[in-house]
Amino acid sequence: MSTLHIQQEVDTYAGLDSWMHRWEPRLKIGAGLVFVVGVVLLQSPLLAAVALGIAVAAAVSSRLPLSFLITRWLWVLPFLAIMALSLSMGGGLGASGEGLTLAFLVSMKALTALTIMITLVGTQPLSALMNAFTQMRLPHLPVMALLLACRYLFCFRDELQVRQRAFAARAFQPKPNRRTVSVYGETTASMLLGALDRSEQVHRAMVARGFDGRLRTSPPRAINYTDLAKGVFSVASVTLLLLVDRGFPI
Amino acid sequence: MNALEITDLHYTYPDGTKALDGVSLTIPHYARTVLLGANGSGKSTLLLHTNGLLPPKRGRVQVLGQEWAGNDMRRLRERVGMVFQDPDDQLFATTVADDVAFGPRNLGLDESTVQERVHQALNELEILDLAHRPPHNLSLGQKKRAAIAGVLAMQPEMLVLDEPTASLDPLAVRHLTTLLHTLHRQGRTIILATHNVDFAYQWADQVIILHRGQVLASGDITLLQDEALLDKASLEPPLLLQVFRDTPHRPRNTAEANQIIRNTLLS
Amino acid sequence: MHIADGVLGTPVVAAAAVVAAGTLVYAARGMKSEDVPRVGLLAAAFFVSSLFRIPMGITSVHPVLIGLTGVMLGRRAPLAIFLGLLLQAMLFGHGGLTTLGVNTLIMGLPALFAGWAFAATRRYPVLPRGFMAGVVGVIGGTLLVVAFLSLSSEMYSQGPFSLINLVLLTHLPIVIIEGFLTGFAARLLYRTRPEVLGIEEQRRENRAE
Repeated sequence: MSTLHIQQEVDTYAGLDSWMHRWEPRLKIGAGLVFVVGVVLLQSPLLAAVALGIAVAAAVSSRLPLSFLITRWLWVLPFLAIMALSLSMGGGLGASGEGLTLAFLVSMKALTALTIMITLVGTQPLSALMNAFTQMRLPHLPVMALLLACRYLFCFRDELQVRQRAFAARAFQPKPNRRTVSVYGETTASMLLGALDRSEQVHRAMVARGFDGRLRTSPPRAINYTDLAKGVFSVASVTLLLLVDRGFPI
Repeated sequence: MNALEITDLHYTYPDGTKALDGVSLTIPHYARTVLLGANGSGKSTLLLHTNGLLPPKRGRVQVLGQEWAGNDMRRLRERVGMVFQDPDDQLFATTVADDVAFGPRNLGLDESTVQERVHQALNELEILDLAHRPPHNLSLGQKKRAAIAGVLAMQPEMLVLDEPTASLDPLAVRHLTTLLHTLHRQGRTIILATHNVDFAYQWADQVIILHRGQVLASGDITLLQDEALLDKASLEPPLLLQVFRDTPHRPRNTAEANQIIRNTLLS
Repeated sequence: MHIADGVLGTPVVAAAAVVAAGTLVYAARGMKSEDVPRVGLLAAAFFVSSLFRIPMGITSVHPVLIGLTGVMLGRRAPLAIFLGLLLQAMLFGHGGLTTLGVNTLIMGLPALFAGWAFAATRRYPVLPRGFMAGVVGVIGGTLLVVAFLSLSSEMYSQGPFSLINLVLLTHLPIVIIEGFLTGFAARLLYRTRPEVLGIEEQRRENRAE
């Protein structure tokens, strides 16, 4: 259940102060997205490694501890290792250099994207990030649904923990058999029913406070020159990487 | 003009459950009314009608002197605030302050008024320090306050609460009682649905007893001395009345009860 | 069941993003205010429910609930899946950012299909229908993963231990588990609250168009 505990770490470093923490969230999300897309387009493993270096530098300069980054990396590392193994040995004829190169390239890109994501999400409270979504010109209803999903995820997470404790208290041990699957299947169904009933109540409570399908949000923080400069800097850095990657002489 | 006037209201849920079966009642302005009833007596369904969340299928519902429909509904919801039983149903935003701002924003108020209202409501409930906390890691008592703040920020003249004492610890119930007194003194009509007879006995002016979707009795708190009536509604008499069953004077609260005991022992 | 950033080729990612955007528009069309909490809360509940782990040898597997999502949410399923994936990417860094479109398709299209197949077999008992929806969901998702991988690079399919073979192998037990789990879940839903199985809902929506 370690997935469940990770969620509690989301806001751990949100209260610190750094250039990333001070960056206007909407611009930060946009710039992060552009950076990741740019990195995914790279073809040179070396430049992808440089991109990872930049991402780690961004994370560290935002005062996110390296240990935090590494614990998050641990989630994808096994997958990347299996891929590397499969790509290099898949043919069964000893290591293939080409496969290893591809595995390296993919790993660098995946880790870069992950690091950028962690930095984007970790450098302001989750609520501020969600607010940023509401302040962008996105369709109201799906954004509202995202907000609700994010809020009630934590509610249901607690419920799942309670249910699992109740199972353990009655000496239930999950095994790959029919009984476990039926217990989990029915528990899933009852959790979904609970969610459905709650969604009806939530809707009533929202309507009771005047909700009419329109999302009204707090005005966003004004974007200043520093915010813009940070955006230009990150877009420029990934553009530079791409130019070198495609063989433009610098 | 009455705060609430209901005539022959019926409601059946889509699954066939008959929740209200010909309810008629009148609640005057500035009353402290308790809708008392066991689980499944129709209290919550009745409350949903006071805010227009359920439209009357059969019967009439007049809130604050008129029947409401269509575009006026938002005016109604501005004037009648509804606090749900489970604060987790109500606190949907990612921070307490955002949640409290939801109602005022829906009223179309400008941002500075919204912030003013949020501050005022949080202050009134003494939870200014929780403003930027996500609701999911608050205690139930704190959640309840945040949910009430979210309704008060709309400045309603009538307040409707569904089972406000449910699962609260004794201290939180005491805080709630104080708060309800304050809100009432500010001039609000308060309707509260509960099965907590002890709470009803100490707080209410008017008691309406519901049973299986029908009004069994309506009157002042002396209704709670009628054991046969309460038994019929699957309720128990208040503890104070059980203890002081045969004394000539029935105490309304523990202070009065103490007085009776002291007098008896001294005489 | 998702693919990380950097694994797929650019044209594949770009094309998938476009198709996924179209799918999401379809899923969100005609959405009313009362659908908002339904989609949001079910997205969260599906996401949390997929965290049940069933130990299997030295590792463990968890249900993906693709079929059940389709059964309960009908045309809104891809939207709920997209929201779940977005949250998963943000909160744990699972999945990917550029592959959000790819992953939405991998789970969303089989969910739509499973939901449709479940509704179309209305005359049969609910347990096998649920089983079928679960199986169809996982198989569909796995095939899409394989398709996206093989479209991206030939190297993913080379040799007996190729990435694609590994994907197929590891998803085999999930197919069975997901089938039974969805069957049991659907049976309980059918017994307690048949209206939530989305059949009426879908019929009404189809007529409205």
